[in-house]
Formats: sequence, C-alpha cells, structure tokens
Amino acid sequence: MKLGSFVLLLLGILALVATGWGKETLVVYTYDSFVSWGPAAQIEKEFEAKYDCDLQFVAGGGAKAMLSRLLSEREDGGTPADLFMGELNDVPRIVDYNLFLPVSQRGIPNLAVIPAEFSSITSTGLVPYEYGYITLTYDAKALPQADLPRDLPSLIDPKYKGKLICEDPRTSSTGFSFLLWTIAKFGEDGYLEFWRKLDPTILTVTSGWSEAWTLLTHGEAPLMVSYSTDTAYAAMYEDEIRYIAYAPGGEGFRTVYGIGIVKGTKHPALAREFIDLLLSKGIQELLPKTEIMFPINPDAPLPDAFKEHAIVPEKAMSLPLSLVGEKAEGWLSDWARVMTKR
Amino acid sequence: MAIRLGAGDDKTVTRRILFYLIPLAFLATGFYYPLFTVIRTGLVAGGRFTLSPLRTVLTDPYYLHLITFTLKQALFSTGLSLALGLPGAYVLSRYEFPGRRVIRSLTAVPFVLPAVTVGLGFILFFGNNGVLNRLLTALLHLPAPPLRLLYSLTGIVLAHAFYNAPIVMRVVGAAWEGIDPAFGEAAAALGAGKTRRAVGITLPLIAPAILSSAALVFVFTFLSFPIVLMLGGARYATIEVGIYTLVRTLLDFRLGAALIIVETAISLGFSYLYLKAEGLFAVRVQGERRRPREPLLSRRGWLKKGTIALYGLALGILFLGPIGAIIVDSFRGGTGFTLAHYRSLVSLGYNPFLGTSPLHTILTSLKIAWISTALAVPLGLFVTSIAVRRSVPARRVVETILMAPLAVSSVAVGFAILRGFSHPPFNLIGTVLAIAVAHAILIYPLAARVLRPVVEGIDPELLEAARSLGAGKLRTLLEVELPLIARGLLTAVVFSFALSMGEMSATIILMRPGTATIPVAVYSLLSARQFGPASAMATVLIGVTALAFLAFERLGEELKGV
Amino acid sequence: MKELSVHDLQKSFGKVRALTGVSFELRAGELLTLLGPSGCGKTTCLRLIAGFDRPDAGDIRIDGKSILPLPPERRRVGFVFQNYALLPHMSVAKNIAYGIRFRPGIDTRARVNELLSLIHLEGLADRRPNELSGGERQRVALARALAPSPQLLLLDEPLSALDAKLREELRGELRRIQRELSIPTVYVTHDQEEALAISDRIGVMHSGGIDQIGEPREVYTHPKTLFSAEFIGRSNRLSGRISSVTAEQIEVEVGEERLRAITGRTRLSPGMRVVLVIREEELRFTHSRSNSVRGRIEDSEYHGETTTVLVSTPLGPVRVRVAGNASTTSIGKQVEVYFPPERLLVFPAEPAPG
Repeated sequence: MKLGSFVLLLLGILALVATGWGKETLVVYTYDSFVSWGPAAQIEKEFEAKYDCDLQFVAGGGAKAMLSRLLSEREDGGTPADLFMGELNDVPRIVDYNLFLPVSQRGIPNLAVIPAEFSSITSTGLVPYEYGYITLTYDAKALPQADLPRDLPSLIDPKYKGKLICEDPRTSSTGFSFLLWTIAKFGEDGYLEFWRKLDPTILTVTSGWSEAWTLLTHGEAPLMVSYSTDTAYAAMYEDEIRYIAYAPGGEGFRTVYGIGIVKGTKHPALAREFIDLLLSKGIQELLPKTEIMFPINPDAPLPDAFKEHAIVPEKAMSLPLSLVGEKAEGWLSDWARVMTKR
Repeated sequence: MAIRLGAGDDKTVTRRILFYLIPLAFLATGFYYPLFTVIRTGLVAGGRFTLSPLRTVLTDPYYLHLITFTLKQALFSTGLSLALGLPGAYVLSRYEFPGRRVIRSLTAVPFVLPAVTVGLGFILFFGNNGVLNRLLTALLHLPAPPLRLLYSLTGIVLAHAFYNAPIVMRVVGAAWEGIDPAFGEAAAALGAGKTRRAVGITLPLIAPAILSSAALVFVFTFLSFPIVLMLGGARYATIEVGIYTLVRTLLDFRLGAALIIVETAISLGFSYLYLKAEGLFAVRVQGERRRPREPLLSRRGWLKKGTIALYGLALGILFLGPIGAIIVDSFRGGTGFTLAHYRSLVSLGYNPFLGTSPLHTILTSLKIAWISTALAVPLGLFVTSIAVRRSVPARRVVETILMAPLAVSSVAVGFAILRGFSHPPFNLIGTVLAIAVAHAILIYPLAARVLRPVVEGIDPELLEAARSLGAGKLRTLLEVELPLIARGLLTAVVFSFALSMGEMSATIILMRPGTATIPVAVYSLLSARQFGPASAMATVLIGVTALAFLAFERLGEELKGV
Repeated sequence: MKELSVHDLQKSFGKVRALTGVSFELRAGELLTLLGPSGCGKTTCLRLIAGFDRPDAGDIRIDGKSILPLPPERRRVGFVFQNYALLPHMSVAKNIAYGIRFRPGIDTRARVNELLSLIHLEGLADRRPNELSGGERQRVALARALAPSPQLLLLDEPLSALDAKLREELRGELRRIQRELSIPTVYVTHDQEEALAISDRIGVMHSGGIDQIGEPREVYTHPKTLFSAEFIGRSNRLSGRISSVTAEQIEVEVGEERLRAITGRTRLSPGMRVVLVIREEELRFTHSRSNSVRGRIEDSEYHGETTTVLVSTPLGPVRVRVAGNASTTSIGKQVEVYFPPERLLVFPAEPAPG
C-alpha cells in the first residue's frame, strides 16, 4: 500500500494548497446540474472577488445524494458544508433533520424580494431562490398539436399506447414530481388506479430525465414528462423548436429550489451574504438562461425567449412539503408494487 | 513466491506470510470488510441478531417477485446466449475462413463495453425509430414500425445476449478446439456414426465448458443492472433495482442489505457451480493433436450454406447493428458527415457537464485503467496460484470466497467501498485511487479466470528442473514461470484494462466531478443533450478496446512460437 | 561426494503409502538403479532426494550430513526428467547454462561448449527445445543437469520416451558419460534390461519398499524374493509342496511329478507350499534321469536371436527359450524338458512371517 499512502499524502498537500491557506472557505453542497448547467462558475467568480474568500461548490448526484452525505458526515462528527441547496420535493424530510439556522431579513435583506406565495417556506430556514413546473413535452414532428392528450386522464386513451416516456420516481426528481402531480390531482386514493390504467400508455420508465430525453429525441416515443421551460430552452439554444412543452389541462406540478445555512457553520455571516447574492437581481437574471428555471426575484428580467415560450401553468399543482415528507416512502413503495411488470 | 509450485519448500515463514498477507489485506480492506458491514446491517439490529429483514424480503410478494423475475430474465438471457454462442463456438473452432482470427479477437469487445454505450447503440439500431425499424418500414412500405423489441423483457434478453454470447463462443470454442480428434476417430473406427460421435464423444468433452460458461453468463445476467434499466425500464425491476431503490431512495439500509444478502447468496451458489464446472474442464485430459480446420464454404450443400448465412446475418444484426449505429451517429452532423464531435473531444476546454475537459476525461480513464490493472492482475495471479494448488483444503470453497466479487454486483461493491472508504483514515472517495481500487476488486476475478488455464498449463517439472539447477523461488518465478505465462498475463492485462475502461456502475457511485471516466462522460454528454459527442466518445471507447484486442492477438500469435 | 545414504524414507500421498521405509546407500562414482513396476515408489524416492517433496519420516544424508533442511536449489543435485522438462522459452545453450549463470568463477560459455561436445551436439546451441528430436532433447537435459557439476545425478526414466534402438544407443552413451565423470547416480527405470545393462547395483522396488539390492548378476541369478524373481527376466512359475529337505537339496512335489532343487534357503520345511521359479532360458530340451518331464510343443515364437517354445507338460504349460536357429521347435513334437536343479528357485507360497 505504498502507492496508497503516497497518493494520500499527495492529496493532503493538494487539499491544503487548494484551500488557499488562511482564506475563509465557504462550502456549498449543491446538485450536479447547478454546477454543470447552472450559474455556479459565475457566482463563484463574483463572490470570491467581493468577499476575498474561497467558495467551493461540491456536487455529486442530486440533492438527495448530497443530503445523505451531509447527514452521514454530521453523524460522524461534522460536515464541511456551510450551505445546502436543492429541489425541495427531492428532500421532503429535510425539515425533520433540524439542519438549518433560521434566516431573517436582518441578515439577508434580499429576502424581501421573495413573493408571498413562497415566503412561508423561509420559516424552515430554507430560502427559495428559483422554481419551475413539471409538464409534458411532445415531439412536434411526430404528434400534431391537435392530437395531444387534453389532460392527464386522456393519456389513458388507447390511441396513446406506448407513446409516453416517464422517469422513475424512485431515482429521478422529475419522475417524483410527476408522481406527486398525480397524487395532487387524483388524491391518495385515486392515483394508483390512474397509474394502473396509464401503464399501457407508458413506453418505458427511465431511471432519469436524461435517458428519457435521449429516447424522445431519438424518436422512440412522442411524449415525455419534462419541464415547462423546454420550449424556451430550444428557442434560446437550438436551431429548431421541435420538442415543445405544454401543460395538459392547464396543469403543471411546481418544483421549488431552496438553500439553507447548515447549523454549526463557522462562517454564518459569509453564508448569509451568499444567499443575499443568490437572490440579487444580477444572479437571479442568470437562472432562466442557465438553469432554465424561473427566478424567485420578480425584478429579475426574463430573456425574450423565456417570456414567449416558458409556460406558467394556469393550475400550478403542489403538495405540502410536510405531507410529502411523511408519505413519500409509502407512495414510492406502492407505486413500485403497482408498476413493476409481472 | 511460486505460482505453481508449492512443494518441498524450506519454510521461510516471513516470506510466505507476506505472500499471503499483502493480497489478503488488500481484499480484506477493499472488499470483505465493506461487504461484512453491509451484511451486518442486514442481520443485526440494535446490537442483536435478527432475521426479520431477511424474512420480509423472502415473504413479501413484491420482493419475491423481484427475485423470481431476476431469475427468469437471467435464465432466458443464458438460454439465448447459449443458442447464439454455441454455433459460433462450433464455426470458430472447426472452420477456417478469412477474418476468423479477427472475429475471434473481436468477440472480447462486447463484454467490456459500458451499458450506456450498448444501450445507446441498441436504441439507435433496435429502437422503435431505430435503423432496423426504419429500414423495414421503407422496404416493406409499412405504415408503422414493425418491430417492438426494446422496453420489454425481449430488449433485456437481447442486450444480455449481446454481452454474453461471445463469452460462450470463446469458452466453448476453446474447449472444442482442444479435443483430440483421436477420440472421434476411435469412435468412428468402432462404428459410431456422426450423431453418436457428437452425442457420445464431443458433447461430454465440451459439456463442462458449456456448463461453466452457462453458469458464468447466468451470474453476470443475474447481477446485471444498468442495461436492464436502459432497455427494459424501471418497470422491469430486478433485485439490483430493488437494492438501488431501497438504499438510495428509501434509505432503508436494513432491507437493502437483506436483499443484497439474498442476491449474493444466490449468485455465490452459481459461482460455486461455475468454478466447479471450470475445474472439471481444467482437469480434462486434452490431447496433443488438433483437428485441422476445414474451409467454411467449400463443398457444402445449399441447406448448410443457407444455415450458415442466416446465422451470420443474425450475428451481424445483433453485434454490428448497434455498434455500427453508434459509429455512424458519431460522424453525423446537422447537414451530413462531420468530424466536429471528435474535434470537441480532443479539446482542452472545460466542459461543465464533465466537470473537466473531454481530453482530461480520457486521460483519467487511462490512469484509472492502469492502476486497476496493476492491482488486478497480481491479485488474479495470487488467487489463481491458490486455486490451482491441490493441497488447499476445501479448495473449491476457498476459491469461491476468493472469487466472491464475481458474485457481488458492482452496485453493491460500489456501495460497500463508498461506506468503507468515506471516513478517515481511508477518506478516498472521489479520488482516482478509490475508483481504481473498486475496479481492481471487480476485475481481478476475471483476470484470474483468464490466467487460470495458463497457470494450470505450466508443467510443474519445469519449475522443479529450475529449482534442482540451483534457482531459488524468486529466480524460478521470474525466469521460468512468468515467461511461460507471458501470453496469458498479456491477455489478462489487456482484458483488465479494457474492463476498467468500460466500468461504469461502481464508478458513478464513487466519482466526483473531475474524476469522470469515458463511460461516465458518455452518460454526462447524453444528459447534456450532446448526442454527437456522446456517440463520438463511445466510438473512441469501442475503437480503443477493439484495437487493444486486435493488437494483442497479433502479438499473441508471435509469442506463441516462444 | 563420498556417500549418499537414504534411511528409512516414508511418504504418503493422502491414503496412498508411496514409500513404506526405503534405505540404501550410494557410493562414490556408483550407478544405482531403482527398478520396479510403475507405482512402486521409485520416482517418489528420487523426488524426495531432489527435494521436490518432503518425506513424512526418514532421513537423506550426503557424507553423513542431512540434506532434508535444504531446498532443492541448494542440494546440488542434477535431475533429468522423463519428459526432459527443457525450458521451452530458452535455447539449448541457455537451458544448459541455466544452472551456472550466476555461479561465480565459472566461464559459462566455455562450460556450455564443453558440455555440448560431451553430448556431441555442438551445432545445436541456438536451437529451441521444440526444434530438437527426442534423443537430442534427452542429451540436452543430461547436459543441463551436469552443467553445475552436481554432487549427485538423479535420472527419472530418462530413456522411456524414446524408441527401442535409440534407447539402447543412448544408454551406452549415458553410462560412458557417467563413468567418465565418475558421478554418483541414482537411475530410475521400469525396464529390467536397461537396469541390468547399465547399473553397478540394482535396487528392486515393490509396493513402496526395496526387495533387494545387489549387482545385476546377483539380482538376476539369486533373486531374494518371489517378486524379484518374477519381475526380472522371463520366468516359469510352478506351485508345489515340499516333500523333503536335506542339507544339499529339497524335493518339491508338483502335481504328480517331483523336482529337485539345490538351494541355500534354510527356512523351508517339508509340507510347506512353495512356488518354483525358473527362467525360460534355463530350461533345456534334454533327457535326464530326474528333474525332467515329457511334453508336447504347442506353439513357438521366433525372436531372431532366440525362440520361445510353449510346451504342455504334466506340470502345466512351460515356456522354454532356445537359441534362435534351433530346429527342434516344430509344433506337435514330443520333447523332454529338463529343470536344472541348481537353477530352480524356491520361494514360500505365502510371504514368510517376519
């Protein structure tokens, strides 16, 4: 194990160098796409320049994976994380763990920009900073607009047999939001029946959004569960608008992203500054372009393509986070039992 | 020190202890201990032994269904792999035709390809909108695509045959080639006709090879995870999917661990069978003489020619279809042929979806592959040296334990290492070393598999001759044993290297941005809607692997005369 | 080396007792052959001396000093394997040089050349083993074993993989070289003719033990056990009962007939069941007042130098070997077969107790 100890030593030295010695270091646990798609790099540049510190984004998987990492680190005597951010339905029980410091406008003046419909969340210590909607996306070349299912129940129609691609709610947050949508719509007593009838319509249940998108764009099926901003994305970044989002029956399921200051942080002031910056107009403006999400700050200007194509469903469905936290495991188990092929 | 020779030793205790201790310590920290913690999670609650999670898993109809479905798909997959592989073994071992050697070396390629690549290839070729369906629709003027192969049990079984039929071809083909024609000639002289010779002579002689490859394929398909998800979908839930869900989503570690225990027990059982069958195969006395290969296409009836052509077509569709589709896709841009996707791969620019530059990803893959090969091949050699020693008590059981990673899914190994190495003093998660260790653990049983017949082929008298001429164990090892197994070692190195390059299940659990490997990059590029570069990256992987095996085959042929 | 002494060697493989207690001594320059059928333990014995296996009990000493603690590479023993065990990835010269390459004070090249000329294979230094004929391989194996000037040479059926003519040629060669170098040698074979031709002494082995050690002539003419008597040479075997014993001779009843035998054996007494053994070539077609029986020639096998004649007699069928050109062998002929009393060997039918 000489090699092992050598590499360990090397890593140790590297880690020391990377932390920039005396500088204050702020560690943010986030999800992959915030770093890859999102504005992480730009925030880092701005924040480090302004506060002369070292900002580190740590991402490995989705919010769920990062939360379980944080929890196990806390159990083992402490986490390096100062801040945690992620999609809230993805981590519905996060409140139960009593993880976050309380926040107030005194420390974070920009809390004031959060619209009333989201502001209640802040009482848990989590600050919402962006949101979006799960809707359906169709392949305009394969399915004429006139033939689209009007609403969720019409998806059961045999003419849509094998035409829908879903994500697995157990492994994909998109899939989980869709499951919550059906629960919000058909109720805890009715959603399983709906899924049972939906089964023939589903071509396949993929493990993640990426796999589903791969299948949609390779013409395997014309419909998938996706984001209401897909059209806007295509308008901003692609040559043609072929995959179009729409809200069946005017409905969509709302997903909210939040950030919280982890209890035990050594840099609470810096952490508050970070949240304040995240809510600022300058950074909020980046979110539609990079995360392809709606900024929480209404003052942040939206790109034209976003204004024109991003759909805000008339009926935004949602479930209370506490209910989701309490019931999620049971819903998922029941879903698996119903949907697993015999 | 010696691989093959164990007798007549002066008992240099320290050296002997080191010989056993170093590899066993590595296995203990890298595999057995983490696995033990997982098993303990399933069997101990609040400091007390309990069977209740196991009971739940074995009585709840949902989990029982997972188990039976897993067994069912593995059974079908094994069946199809045998059905496609056995004729191939026959043709490759009995007939001579142009390109036979190239084909034989390329049969090693599918096995090492990552699921994400194969999945992509299958979707491009066999999908509802795939090449095959579009071709048939155009040719037959059909209103809708005629074939619905994927997103079903058929898709899973087909992909498993893609992976495993070549294994059957190689293992059984080698046994078939080794049969001394004297047996058949003797039977013919005694009046046995063709059928009687096939059933009475050839079949019993290759039966252990068939059995051993079938058991191996069964274990592989039993534990298969990502390809089941990609081509079957989450509704076709196997035990692996169940484990993944329990541990990652429901965070029910106890039930997850119980399911891991059940899964491992079943696959260990089959591994034991496999090793036993392989043992039978190894002790089989092989003759000196080889039957000369016949030319494939001379003086054959139309029926035979037709059968061979049909079989060739089936193989061509199954293997060249998906791979070809990926390669074509990698060169296709918006307006036709393009090299843009490849240019993007060699760029040094930071790609946020990879967390690094594409070129760096390729370099990381190579780095991990080298380290894991350097660990896996000596480990494989160590395990082999114990497995071929007749003096080891309960040899088959010891061997099954030493080969256990073969029977533990890569997801479980990934989890085990994640749990074992995420705390001081082994805080290695996300490092190249942790991934390489995981790869080495997953790969070394396969390296041992490659090495075993070679080591068994060493005539122990050669080693004794060297010893009696005054060479110590070390000199015997370096000058006699290693040169004698050089070819096998080279095969093991190429194979291990390729397997590491293609590994994804454990990598994705252990990686952090910056340590992305090629298969992970393919996946990440797909997520980023960059299909062209994803195909290009997959093509690079296929190309590198194929070239490695081809180059080895050439080198191997030269070395054969040694 | 002055003397190799092997003392009460025992070795079992699982339940099989390969050696039950073998002792012998080998003197300087001597060639001792261990002769016996396959499975008698002769190869095991050789492997224990070489150090490839460890004995369960007993000792092996060279000049009074036990070599058991030494690993094979430090025993300075040359070993020639039945299948030669030439290293396939090395040339002839490298094979021969293998044992001396790292020895200080040895001019490897000169030594290899010396050995190549000793075995008359000067031109083949750069060949690979698979490019050699069987006889050439055998010589190279011998040269390789001799190269480090071992204090002891062990040969395990070194000629058995060769055809008959070559075997005879090479065994002469082997003996020449062994004498020339005066190297003490243990030679293992199952071929009695080879053993008789080549050895200074022969140890006849049988179910893990040595029945008899002696010079070839002695072993042939005065076998000490029934096994030795039957294994070496071609013999006739008759069962009978002792009718009388005197100081000079004994008389044995075989069926209706009586045969006299002159034997020094003392533990024979009247009434004892015995086995009479007589070599085919010792029987003669002559009439005598006693010790001859009448018979009829049933068949004959012509070997060139000799002819074996199968005669049916009142004692049962008997095989008689006569000179090749004898004209007395036509089938159906009545003959008289004479049993020379001094050539009749008598052994107790059941193994004598003790």
